[in-house]
Amino acid sequence: MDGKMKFYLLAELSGWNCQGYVKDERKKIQESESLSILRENVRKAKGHLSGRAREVVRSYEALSIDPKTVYQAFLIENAIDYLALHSFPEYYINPLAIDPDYEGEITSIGDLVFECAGEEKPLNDIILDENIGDKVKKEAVSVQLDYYLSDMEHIVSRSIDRVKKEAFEPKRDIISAILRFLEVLFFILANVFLAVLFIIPFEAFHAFLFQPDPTFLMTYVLYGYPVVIFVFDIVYVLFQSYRTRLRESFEYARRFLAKNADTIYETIRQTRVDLYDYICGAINNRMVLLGDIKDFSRLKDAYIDLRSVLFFGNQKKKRTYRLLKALLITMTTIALIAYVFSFVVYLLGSLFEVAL
Amino acid sequence: MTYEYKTTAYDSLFKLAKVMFLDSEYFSRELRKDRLLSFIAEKEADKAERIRKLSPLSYPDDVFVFLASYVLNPYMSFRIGRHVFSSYKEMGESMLSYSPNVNNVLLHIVSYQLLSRHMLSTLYAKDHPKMFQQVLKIEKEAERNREKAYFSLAYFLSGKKSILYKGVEYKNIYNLTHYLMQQEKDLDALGSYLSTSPLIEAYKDYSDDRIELDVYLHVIENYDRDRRKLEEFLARKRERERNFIPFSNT
Repeated sequence: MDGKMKFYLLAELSGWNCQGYVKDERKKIQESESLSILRENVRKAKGHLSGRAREVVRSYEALSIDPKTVYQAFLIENAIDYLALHSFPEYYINPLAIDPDYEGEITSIGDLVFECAGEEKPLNDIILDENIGDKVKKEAVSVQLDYYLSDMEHIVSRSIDRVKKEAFEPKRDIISAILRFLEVLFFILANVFLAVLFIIPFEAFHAFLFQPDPTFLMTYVLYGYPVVIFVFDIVYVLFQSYRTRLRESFEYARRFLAKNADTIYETIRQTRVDLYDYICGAINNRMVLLGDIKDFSRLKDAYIDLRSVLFFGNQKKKRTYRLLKALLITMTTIALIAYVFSFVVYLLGSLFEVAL
Repeated sequence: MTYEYKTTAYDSLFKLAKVMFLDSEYFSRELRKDRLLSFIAEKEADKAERIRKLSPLSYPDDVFVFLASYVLNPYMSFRIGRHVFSSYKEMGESMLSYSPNVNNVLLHIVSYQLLSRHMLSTLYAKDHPKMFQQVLKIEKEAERNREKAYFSLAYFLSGKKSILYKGVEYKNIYNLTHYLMQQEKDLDALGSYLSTSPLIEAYKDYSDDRIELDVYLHVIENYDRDRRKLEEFLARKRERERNFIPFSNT
């Protein structure tokens, strides 16, 4: 925003209508470097569970870039600058809650921005700063670690809430339970019928196996139905295997959290103490921190994978899941039609002992 | 014994003190020489001693002469660097007349707490304690922002609610911006200047547009601060990336 807009802001606030000067601002904001940084960073921040990352993503999604007044243009651009700065991982990564598989640009806790003596600086710069006393540095570290701890505790409490919600979901959703039962039942019936087709002797029917005749429906049943059921079986098994794999860590976490939530809280509190001691050691020895960003992560520790709990819902949105589910629905429909058609042909043929 | 200054012979410290503000540079030198100090010592030895103690302190000429002149004559009207004011109101109006710039001599009033000293010297502070406290508060503010304190003092003393800009008095910001929109060619530079102007900051506390100016200054402050922080962060980040040396496996 240039000086001219600052002048128009003063004029507008004093009572002048300056809407005419806002027209070009929307385009300028859309093309600004800050917004492009923010967009890029938000994409990366979406994969993080920390409160600050989620806050940045939420604020970005709530942002409306359509200023009607000079005042609004200033507020929007200010919000973008603020969010752009705080969308860098240095600001939002919580070393207690970082994904152990994280392979981003931040490699050390020393890269994270801490507030010390009224200034925001990377922790490594604070450690090396000779103008700040160790006591002040350690107080600043303690404040920041308290925040990290409360953020991590919030992640755990959200996980527990999520687990409780999931645990009660099947009882509430009777329709989906019935559908799941029917799905299994049809899978069994379709395959049993396939076996019956070939195992139970039916001479008029089996004759088409060796001498197929396209003018007879039984030929289609004999050759078409097995192919349809075979494809249906593959899709069904693939989908169920994939769904089970997705639920595996979630189910484990659900069972664990139901009984051992206190253990998790104790572990992360102890980790906060360990991290504080670790950083204080670096402050005492004026040593910069390197390559330790994931060393204190408790997001996926020996007990539990909290990420799998909180991202469980998101996994259903994955392309593979959606593709397999769509395939299953399509194949189930085709298999059902084939099943009904084949069953009717088979039933009529066997009842009247004729070739259809 | 008399002291001669520009063809006039002074035999009274009171009278001499009253003209010293007219030539601060000259009297600043004279007050450090024996000729004038002997004259003062002969009249009142303790006053000469007090002036001697002021000499080593690194005051500007105007301030040193001001302080010395009130040692000699504590009850005279406010006078500094060729400016003499019969009342504080007049002083405030005079300070405002330079707006949006400041007068460097009058800036000393807030920088060196000269008004509160004058109020104490003339016993005005005793009769007007509330006003004196407000002056102290403004002078204290000068430690943080001298120019804002200058305009605050000017508005406080003058009692004005209008805004003075380049010799023209405007009833309010609405009128000022209307005029500037039509007259000023470089609105970009003007807007940048006004957004950080100590005049606007000080005027806010004395005008009827207080709420609007509060919002204006708050928005600008946040905007400039966050923009600066982002730019500094990006510059540091780019600098680090430029200087980055990957760890060697060997």
